[in-house]
Amino acid sequence: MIISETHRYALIAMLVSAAAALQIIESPLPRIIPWLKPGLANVLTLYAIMRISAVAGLVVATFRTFVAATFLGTLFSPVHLISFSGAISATLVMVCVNYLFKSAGLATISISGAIASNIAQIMIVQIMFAGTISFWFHIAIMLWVAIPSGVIVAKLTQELLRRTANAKFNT
Amino acid sequence: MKNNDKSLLKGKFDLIFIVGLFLISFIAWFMHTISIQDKPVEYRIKTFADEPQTISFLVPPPEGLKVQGRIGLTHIEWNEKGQVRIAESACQNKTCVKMGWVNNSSILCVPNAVLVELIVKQNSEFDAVSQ
Repeated sequence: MIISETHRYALIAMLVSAAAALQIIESPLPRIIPWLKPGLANVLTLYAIMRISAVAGLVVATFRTFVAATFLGTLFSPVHLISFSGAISATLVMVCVNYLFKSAGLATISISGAIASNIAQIMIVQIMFAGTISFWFHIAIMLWVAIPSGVIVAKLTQELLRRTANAKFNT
Repeated sequence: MKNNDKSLLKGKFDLIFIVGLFLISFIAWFMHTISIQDKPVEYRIKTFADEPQTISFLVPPPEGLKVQGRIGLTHIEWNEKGQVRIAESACQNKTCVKMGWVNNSSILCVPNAVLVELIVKQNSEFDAVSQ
């Protein structure tokens, strides 16, 4: 149950700040493959979609990229645009999969979001810089990273949902 | 309460989805291993700083090349196999440097706005075609 609209806004604000913090912390961490990262901030976006609403998920995704970019010093730079496009497309795809495929588990929803995020980022890079990408190489690597990272994000979201199941901000 | 019953995997749909993705990824990797047989025939370096410029090489300079990007210098190197890498960059995360040697893809440094393109053409049994 929602206690009040203020309560809902406070929860969304908390999710935005936590997601931004995760994105900032994740940014300088070493990666197995240089240009791909697990996207732990998506845990909070997926949580917002499952727990509050699709709009809340979009709000969390949008504002967390702005907050993180402000602190990372990349606001309105190409890096921010790439991050923003990835976050928004991941959220939209996760919302669509959640509502269209009722038999989809959290892992499928999360992996779909990870793939959408990667495709959107590659497209933005292509549009902005017109580079020649190795199509098959990117597809293979993208899927190998999207599947485990999607499962990790889904597992963390499931745990978060379970631990906050009795909290008084349910809708 | 909204959708708190969500489990990680619900059934057949999830399994088919994930197995399908793995299959696609292995097919993609197989296609990639076929495509990397071709050596680059041209190298293009593009900078997108205040004054965008494009530099093209058929034979790259052995000593490497330093170009001015948006925030500083980017040092590009080649090896005898025709591979290219960004050895040094003024960017913060050095993602472009960590990519190492590549021979069939572009290297892009988004913060410094420098793109290193490798143009790979398929081998043809004809040198030229005339009418």
